[in-house]
Amino acid sequence: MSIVSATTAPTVHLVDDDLQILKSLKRLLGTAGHQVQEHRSAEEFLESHDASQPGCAILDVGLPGMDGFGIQEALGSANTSVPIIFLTGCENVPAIVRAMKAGAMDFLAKPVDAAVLLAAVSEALRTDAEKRRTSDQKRIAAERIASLTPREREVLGGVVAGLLNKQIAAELGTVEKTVKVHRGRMMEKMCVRTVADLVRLSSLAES
Amino acid sequence: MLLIVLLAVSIPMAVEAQGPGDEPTRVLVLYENDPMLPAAMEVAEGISAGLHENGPAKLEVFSDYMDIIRFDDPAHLLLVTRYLEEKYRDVSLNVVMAAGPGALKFVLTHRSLFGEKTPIVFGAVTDKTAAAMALPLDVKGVISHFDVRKTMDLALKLQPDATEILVMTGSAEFDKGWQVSAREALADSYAGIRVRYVSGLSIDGFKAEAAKLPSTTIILIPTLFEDADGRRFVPREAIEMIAQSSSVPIYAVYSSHLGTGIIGGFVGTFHSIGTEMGELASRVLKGDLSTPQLSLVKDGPLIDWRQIIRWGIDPKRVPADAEIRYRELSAWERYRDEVIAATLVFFTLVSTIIILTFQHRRRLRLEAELKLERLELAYLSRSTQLGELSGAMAHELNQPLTSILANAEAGSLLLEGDPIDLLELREIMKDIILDNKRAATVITQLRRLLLKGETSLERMDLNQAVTTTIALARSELLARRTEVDVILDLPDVPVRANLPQLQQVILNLVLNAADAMDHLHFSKRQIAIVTRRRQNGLCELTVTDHGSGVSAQQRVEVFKPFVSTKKSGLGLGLAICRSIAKAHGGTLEFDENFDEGARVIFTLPSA
Repeated sequence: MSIVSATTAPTVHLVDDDLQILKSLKRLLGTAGHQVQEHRSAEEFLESHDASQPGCAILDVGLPGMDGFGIQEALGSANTSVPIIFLTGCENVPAIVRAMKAGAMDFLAKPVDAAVLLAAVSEALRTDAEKRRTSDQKRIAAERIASLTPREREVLGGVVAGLLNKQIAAELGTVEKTVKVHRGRMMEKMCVRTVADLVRLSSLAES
Repeated sequence: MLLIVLLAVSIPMAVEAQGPGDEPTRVLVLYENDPMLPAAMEVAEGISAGLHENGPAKLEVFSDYMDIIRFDDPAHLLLVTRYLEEKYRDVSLNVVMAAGPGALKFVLTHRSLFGEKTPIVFGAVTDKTAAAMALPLDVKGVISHFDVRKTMDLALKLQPDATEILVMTGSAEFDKGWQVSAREALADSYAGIRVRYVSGLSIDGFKAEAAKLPSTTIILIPTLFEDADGRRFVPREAIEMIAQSSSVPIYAVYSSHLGTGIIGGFVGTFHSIGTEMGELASRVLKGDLSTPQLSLVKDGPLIDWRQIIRWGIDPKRVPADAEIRYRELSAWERYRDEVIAATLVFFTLVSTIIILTFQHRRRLRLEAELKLERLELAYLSRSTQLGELSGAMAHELNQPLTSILANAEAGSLLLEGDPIDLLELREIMKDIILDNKRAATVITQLRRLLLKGETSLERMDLNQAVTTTIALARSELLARRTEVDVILDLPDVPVRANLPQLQQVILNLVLNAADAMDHLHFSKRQIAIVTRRRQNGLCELTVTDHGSGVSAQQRVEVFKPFVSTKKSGLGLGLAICRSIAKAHGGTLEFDENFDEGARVIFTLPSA
């Protein structure tokens, strides 16, 4: 499993069938400092999409073939959480509601104001980074717990429950000294120094 | 009745020439009573019917009334004999009919008066009387059987609770004879009920007697020719007097007594006696020897229905085979057919009204719908095309606008850079220009779209286009109470045009004209449409109104899209119309020299 480094730059994915729009938006976002990937159709986007990479997607609602909502659904069912910003040529309240309920980040009307677009993109990328961080942490926590021996896991359970070493020892049917040893190793493997951090990690892994 | 019969008989005889072989059949009917006795009248009717039913074609009937019941002295009889002798001395009779025992006796005794061999037919004689006479074989008759018992049986059926039978008879010999017959039939007790016999009273005495009887009594009055005071009656009248004040039902044995207020009896009608006599005579005249000497007249229960009602007798008690008289049919029974017919007519009327009402409503609704359709048609240039316009426009123009904006914004950002990326800026400019052109193409395409496809021109008559278009807008104009005057200079004006587009222009101009005059009184709302051909070959269509007119500036403005002088207008009509005009190779202009309203001139080349 690849470990995502915080240094990988997020990519803004543009999906629109209009070449001029793709070109101009890429230009705008690029000038503003973003990495942009353009796609001419929904299918092309979905095919090339790597959910492990950070980023967000700007989708034109009115695409031929599968439209923007279709992409949203496809992504949703694949359980990937790419933040989506919709771009539309006409304001259709039911469509907006539908999109928002399905979890879209934003819904913008064409022609779109640069400031508005850039703000939305920043928000989207921040959210994406946030989510990734959380899921990474979750994964790490799970990994760390998985690396524990059964005994160490038991000790973890006891510490998280707030028991004293003495009590843990009694429960496990061993001596306090042994418990101390296990505890030390466990904390090391978990890469935490305080019990509070341990609890946080452990609950993260379980959620 | 008899008079008519005689007339009927004599007329054919008068018409035909009488030759020696054409002798009519001569019949003499002798009655023992007087002609006004109802019984006699009924017999006479019956005889006439019976004779003419199967009788000889040429009949001559003689009727004589002996009246020997009222005048029962020998002197009278002698007079009658002499009279008849003289009368029929030279008359050759084919048959002699005798009605009543008195008449029968006379005929038998004085047979020579009528011809010894002349056959005799009699009727209205009781079986008893006939049995007591020695009748020669060529004397045949219809005998009546007055059935007192059967009459009482009928009475008991109708009055099952009866406790007494009272038999009333008068003081005349005939009456006394009847009392004897009654006693023979009923004795002192019949069917377990006491029988009392009353006679020798005055008419008032009988009336009083009848009035004070308990309701469980049955009265039988066979006959009453004379009361104790010597007063003479037609029995019918006497019985009627008694029946009026009687407290109980009265029964009779003579059918001719029915209608006086008696309830009825078990009788043979005098009419049927007459008919059977007549039929018997016919057969005898034919020479039919097979008939029996004595035949019994048909009899049965005869009921006056009014008495059933008067005495509150249960109708179910009346025998099914009874002959009912005086039954007052209810309005329904009497006029059943009329009521049914009237009801049917009524319902037909009502349903017709209902149907018509629904049809009318439906028609109103259809008219309203039609009007709505026409309105929509009239506003073709606004509704459908606008719909298309907004949708298509919004989207199609949005695209180039989006990229233009994004490019421009990117350009602005680039200008902040250090150094400024001139290469990129140049690209941006190119792209912006490209998008602008794209937008312009969209507009052009949209304009073409508005004109509903390609402008295909074909040869047609401008006049016809005008008249058909006005027809379309008729209901709208009617609603606005605006008159349209169509002046066609020439019989036809050939042009090359696209009909729907042409119609659109005409409609638009006409409706604009109507709109302009909305504020005027009905009488002033007049639109004039004129078609003509100019000398230079151009065809011209003008639409004139008497509204407030159009100022010089407005004349320019109104042709611009999205400019409207109307509050709710969108300002596309005239712009489109001008496009159409141009597409046809023509023009659309206001007449600058017209100031009594507005005049629009549409020109297009002739075909």
